[in-house]
Amino acid sequence: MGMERVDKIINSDYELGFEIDIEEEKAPPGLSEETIKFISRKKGEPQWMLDLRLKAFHAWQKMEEPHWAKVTYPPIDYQSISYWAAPKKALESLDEVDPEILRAYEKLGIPLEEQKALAGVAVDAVLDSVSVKTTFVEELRKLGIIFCSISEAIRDYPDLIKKYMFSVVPMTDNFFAALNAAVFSDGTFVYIPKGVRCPMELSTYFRINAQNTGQFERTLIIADEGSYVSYNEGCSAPSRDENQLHAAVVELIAHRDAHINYSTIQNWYPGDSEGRGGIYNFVTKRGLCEGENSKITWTQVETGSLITWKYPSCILKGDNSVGEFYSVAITRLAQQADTGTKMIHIGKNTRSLIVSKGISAQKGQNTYRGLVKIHESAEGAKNFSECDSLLIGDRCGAHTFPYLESRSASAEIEHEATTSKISEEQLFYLRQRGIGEEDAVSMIVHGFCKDVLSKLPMEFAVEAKALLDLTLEGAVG
Amino acid sequence: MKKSMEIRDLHGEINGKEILKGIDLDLLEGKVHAVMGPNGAGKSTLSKAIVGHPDVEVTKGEIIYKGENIVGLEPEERALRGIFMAFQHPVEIPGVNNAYFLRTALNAKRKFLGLPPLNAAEFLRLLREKIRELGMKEEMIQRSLNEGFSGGEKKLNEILQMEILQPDFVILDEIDSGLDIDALKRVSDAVNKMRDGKRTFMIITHYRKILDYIEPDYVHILKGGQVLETGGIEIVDALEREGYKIFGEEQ
Amino acid sequence: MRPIDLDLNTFPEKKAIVQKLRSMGMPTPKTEHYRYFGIRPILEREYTLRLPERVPVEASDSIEIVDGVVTKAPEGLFIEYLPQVRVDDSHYDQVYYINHLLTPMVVSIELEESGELRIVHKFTQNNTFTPYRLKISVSPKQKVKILEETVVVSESSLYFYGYDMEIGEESRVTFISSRITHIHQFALFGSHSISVGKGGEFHLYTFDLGSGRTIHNYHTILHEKALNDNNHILFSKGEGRLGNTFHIEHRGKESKSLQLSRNILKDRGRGIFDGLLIVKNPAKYSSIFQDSRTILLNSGPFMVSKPQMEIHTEFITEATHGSTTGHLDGEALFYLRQRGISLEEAKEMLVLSFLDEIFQKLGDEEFRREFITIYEENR
Repeated sequence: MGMERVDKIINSDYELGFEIDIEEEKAPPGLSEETIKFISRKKGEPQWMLDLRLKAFHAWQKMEEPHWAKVTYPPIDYQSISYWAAPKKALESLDEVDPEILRAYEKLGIPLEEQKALAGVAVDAVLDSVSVKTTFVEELRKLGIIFCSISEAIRDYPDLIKKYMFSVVPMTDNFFAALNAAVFSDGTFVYIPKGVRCPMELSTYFRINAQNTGQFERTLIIADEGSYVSYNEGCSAPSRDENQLHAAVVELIAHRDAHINYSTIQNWYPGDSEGRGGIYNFVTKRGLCEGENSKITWTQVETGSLITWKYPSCILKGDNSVGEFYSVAITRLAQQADTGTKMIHIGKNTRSLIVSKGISAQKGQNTYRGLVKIHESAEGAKNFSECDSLLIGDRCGAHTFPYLESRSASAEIEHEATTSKISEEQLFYLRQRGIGEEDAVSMIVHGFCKDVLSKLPMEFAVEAKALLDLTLEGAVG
Repeated sequence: MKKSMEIRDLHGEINGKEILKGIDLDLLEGKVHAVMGPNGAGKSTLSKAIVGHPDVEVTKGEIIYKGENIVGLEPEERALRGIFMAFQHPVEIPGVNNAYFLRTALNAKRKFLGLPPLNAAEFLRLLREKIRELGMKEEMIQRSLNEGFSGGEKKLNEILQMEILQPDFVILDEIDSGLDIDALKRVSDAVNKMRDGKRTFMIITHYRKILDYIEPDYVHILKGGQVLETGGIEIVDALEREGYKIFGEEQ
Repeated sequence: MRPIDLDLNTFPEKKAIVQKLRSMGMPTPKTEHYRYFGIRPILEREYTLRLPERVPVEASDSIEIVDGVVTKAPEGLFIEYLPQVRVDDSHYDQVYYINHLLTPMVVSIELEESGELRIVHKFTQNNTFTPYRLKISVSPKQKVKILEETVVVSESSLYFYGYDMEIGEESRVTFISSRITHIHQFALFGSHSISVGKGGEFHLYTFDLGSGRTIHNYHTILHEKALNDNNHILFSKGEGRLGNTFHIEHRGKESKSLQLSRNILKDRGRGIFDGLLIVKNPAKYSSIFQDSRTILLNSGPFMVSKPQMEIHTEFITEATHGSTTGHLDGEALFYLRQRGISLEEAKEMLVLSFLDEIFQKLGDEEFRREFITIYEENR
């Protein structure tokens, strides 16, 4: 395939790169105890929450930014970032939502009203930190399901928050998790009571809007015994000249027989071909399969961000619990992604499955980094991992770094990985059948990602496929 | 008689090495042309040059098809004009569903012909019918393209695609290789059914066997990148008796 | 001295190495390739530094190195003692540089003709820390076989050693190394740098066995059409920690590397397979392959397998790796027992069949028998 062609195809403009023009209220840049008190005050938090934030902040001050990932970027000046931005108006009902915001969501393809009517998706949209609107809350409440912003949860459900927040990702787990714990602005809280199957897909759309603001959202999902929930998260950010930091934390807890499905489409601004303006995405996502027979499934489609540092993980504590990780990561332009998962087997007969598909194009660097750790207690545990990489163009890189640790003689780990380019034979075969080059490449890439895309909920899968084509637009892949 | 394809003084290189050294060949509409020759004669290179495979660089000459020189056209442009190649080694494409692929190809062709696309249901009906005719297993609709197919299944799948796409000019590239006698018969029957007096076939083969099942109208012997001899089935008989040496081959 | 406290200011004559080590820092428990080996208790211990000296060499059919001192060598073999040799400037192992810093003279051997060389390392001291190094240069178009053996009688000591090997164009080196140790307090760090010239081949067979602590770090550089074929058998038992780590760097086009690793672990034994295959952008049409398999014979051992690839060109001919960690196949065990074979014997058969691929490749029946005897004595 001609390089020019591929370049043209991959060089599509960032379609979501528009800016919403609404008045912002922003904290002055810088991070100190004062900033944290400011955030906590703005959010009207109880003292115990502020105390936790300060504790995290003091721990963070003593920590060092990690540099083991295969990504390079100029040093981040944590004092030049603004840690708080909220739309000025307080919004209570959908009618009060700024039409600008609603229009923006429409552009993003998530009109609240439409989603409500058509898909039955309850959307908790987070625009620069504050939860703008929560829909469907009432309907869900009838089932005992709590679906609200994390700020509301701190106010209304302090017992749940105190019990579960930081229980899976301790506040000092890592540098970025500690930073998040100190300054998190908002996020989503979900609680599914015993035996309840959440009847609809829950969804949150994250979007970074204000310049120079970091986005530090925090998500906590608790699935009580025998419950089920499927949660979708989508992310995007407008084009910028300077890089922005995003350091989110997600904690999932699945009790006995519970199942949590967590899907992400990450489409933050990737920056330009020189890496200007892209998002730094340093995310800690971890799920705890606390009870027997519980299950957590992570599915991610990562097409955006300049730097991605992200390892959605499962701690398989309950006997017979299951962890799954399905990932498609595309890096093009100057993007660098270091992503993968950790599967920690503790309980007996625990199972984990890892399917990772990396695609590198242009100057993109794509790294799979994954840990499978089988403790001595995990009798009969099983893991299977499959990590494939596809290279498009000769300036990109594909890297595979698995860590496979086993201490159990009755356990089995199996890992396979291949790296290849789109073969000329495959391309030619399709073209000989009359399929144009762009469509042929797109077909091969979709085929390559199929095992992951098929795991996404229906509406999300459609979006992911469209996004994949958009990313590879011109439209090869 | 009307020519379907006219190849004039065709020179072609692979990796800078000239393989085709002035091929002249007329392929007549509705006829079956067998192209034979020893290893390295240029048979596969010729077929690759016709379908526009990137490995072959045509340095001189013309391939006139339906009155148009197709040298320089993209592979898919040639395909849409009705040229179909049944590959010797059909490539496996993981994750790409057989039916989805074939519908995309068919609708590309229908678009080219100015016809509306077939929807999934219409297409499936057509596909099922053809699969039944060919005596194939229906489950292969849902499998990935050529993935995990046996040698015979792959060749049958090539024929299935041919049935669906209804090309005007068909190249069968060593379709007989790796087939047992039953599979060879099934493939040949399917090909014979498609002989309708208008469709042109070019059968590339090393062995005579397949020509017992698909009787050629003309046989061309290739050697050293040129057409050495053209005749009827009788030259194959001579070949069987004497080997390629009667055409100057020293083996 | 404590190796971790090494004062870099005391080596003014080895500026480049000091500078390199300064930029890398001293190895820590977090250093990627030592992460699972546990270097802290080893490098923080107090040892008596014992630098090897030069002594008169006795004629023998093999090279014998006792605590870093060459005591025997075949007649006619030209050995030089060089205060400094050219150092690999892109090794990933800090110990490689520490070893070069501390080694007063490198034992340098030039192999200009095809042939076989046997090298026996003996470790006899207690509570000492001994660094030494060898340099082997193989002239172009030769076929050389090197057999390496270790004999450990030392109770508690630390040794740093390693080869700087230069393999000439179109030469083929087969290096067979058996490293057997049963002494828990004994630790051996091997840090090797191998450069394979155009069209050259380096075939490495390692047999690590026992309950001591050994780690070998190989940095291999492959030039155009060069081949690195690595085969490892590892049997770790008791409190043993045995590991092999690699950075195999493809620099020239059409170069090829493959790695087979077969590991058997029991008791609290630990096994480390950590192989990174790097294909640089100019190394187009290269192929890489890794296959690591492990059997844990009981609960308690710890296997770490890190098959890794780093690829910087689209034009890659093959890039595949796989790793499995599991146990003996229950069905197969049952089948054998149903035929009247005892459980122990059946296990034995399956373990040996598991290792067979590597012995097949080596194609040395005598060595195979020898190894199996050793294995049976030590299992």
